[in-house]
Formats: sequence, C-alpha cells, structure tokens
Amino acid sequence: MRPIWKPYEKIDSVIRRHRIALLFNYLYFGFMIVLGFVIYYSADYFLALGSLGFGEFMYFILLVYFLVLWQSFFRSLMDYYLDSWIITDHRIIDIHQMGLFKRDISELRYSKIQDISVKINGFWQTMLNYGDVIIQTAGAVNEFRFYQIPQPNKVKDKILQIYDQFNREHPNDIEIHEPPTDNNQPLITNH
Amino acid sequence: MALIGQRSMNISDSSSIPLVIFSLILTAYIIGSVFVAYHLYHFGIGKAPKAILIIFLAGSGILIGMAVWAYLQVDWGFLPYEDFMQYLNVNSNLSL
Repeated sequence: MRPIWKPYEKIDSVIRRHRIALLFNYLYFGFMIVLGFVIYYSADYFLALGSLGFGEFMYFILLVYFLVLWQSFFRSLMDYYLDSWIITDHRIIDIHQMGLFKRDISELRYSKIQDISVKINGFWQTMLNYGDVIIQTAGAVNEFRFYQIPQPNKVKDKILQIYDQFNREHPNDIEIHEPPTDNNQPLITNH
Repeated sequence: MALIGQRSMNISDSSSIPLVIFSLILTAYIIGSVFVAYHLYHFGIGKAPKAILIIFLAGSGILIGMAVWAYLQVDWGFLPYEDFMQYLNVNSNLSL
C-alpha cells in the first residue's frame, strides 16, 4: 500500500523525523557491537578459549551475532525511512510504518485544515531546531501531527503558503485538473 | 570441502546438527532480509531508502560470506555428539 499520485499533483517535500531520532539507534547498536567484541576478546583472554581450540568457534558465533545485529539495525533504519510526511500541492500524506507488516497511511486535504501550530519542547529541541507540527483538521481525525521534524517553523510556513495557494486555485474545494472533455469543457470533480 | 560435502549429505548423522542449525539461521536471515529489502525498495520514497538498501545488501553479502567461511574453519568435532545422541536415545526409550 503506497500513495497513489494524481497526474496533476506535485510533491513539494518529503519530511522525515530529525536525524537525532536515529541517535539512540546508533548508540544502542554501537554498544551492542562493542559488547560483542568485549565478550569475544574477554573469553579469549581470560578463558584462553583460543588455545583450547575454540577460537574459530567463538569467531563464528561472533559473526552470527553481527548478522543478527546488522539486520536489526537496518530494520530500525527502515522504520525511520518509511515513516514520512509528504507535502504535495493538493494534500498532506502521513505514512507510518510499524514493523514489517503494519503500515498506516492517512491524508489531509488543504481544505480540511483549521489551524496549524508548532510545538518545540525542551533544551535539545530548541538547540537542534526540531519539534512537532500539529494541524487541527475538520475531518474524522481531528489532529494531524508531524513528530520530531527538523525546522518545524519553516514547515509550518510552507504548509500555510501552499494552503493559501490551494484555496486560491480551488475555490469551494472544486478540483479542475482533469483533461478536457469532447466539448472542450474541463471535468469538474467535487471533493 | 569434501568433509563438508559428506556432512551435508547425511542429515541423520549427529555431526550434521551444526550444519542444520546454521542453515536454519541463514534461511531465517535471508527471509528477513527479503522483507526488509522489499519494504525499502517498494515503499521507500526518494533516494535515501534505496541507498540504505544497497548498503544493507552489500553488508549482508559480506557478513554471510564471512560467517560461512568461519563455519568452514570450525572443527566441529569438539561437540559431544555421542553424549547428545545417547541422551536422545535414553529419553526416547523413556517416553516409549
């Protein structure tokens, strides 16, 4: 399941969480790699497994452990890269990947936007300029939230700018982008 | 290599237990990798997920190669196969 692009739709930007969100991942997997080496060399040094003929076996176990770590690390990267918010000139799409088999996609048309606010919370978010953008909507889901995105104020301004442009070009939320009919009249789709 | 070939041919032999376990681990890893690769390729938007995918596949290939090489270097004779088989036999007799 992935968003279906309309032929007249232009993607303005694809936003992901701030890279600081990956920091804990890097720290965790860095620690696990170091732990693997520490156990391997400790076993070799203190228990002298190498001289007992277990050296190759320990090395094999270490590599299998690294294989598992490698895949786990890229699964977490996959979660990061597949969680995204796409701003187009017609809508905002929120894609949320949870593990391998759960994926939520919701979209918001500019005509449904009621209010946009930015929430920057705490020392690190202020210093690194990241935070949440919260969009109040008139739809079934009354809040649309961009989590931990970089430069939230800039994103908010961009959304407002596209919102104004969309409302100018689509009075009463009427879509006039389909190819002309035989009578040379545009096909009007009302959402 | 001939020894490895002999091992893999006889699955019922107790000395093939490490090979079976390693094969299962590799199969699980490859299945997991296929899922990760599919998601990154199919659902990834932009160039970054594809670049991540290439790094993941390259690293997986190298690590699998190293793990297989390490497996071949191990002299699996140190494992107590006979004790293990005896244990299995005793337990199977008990259950009967």
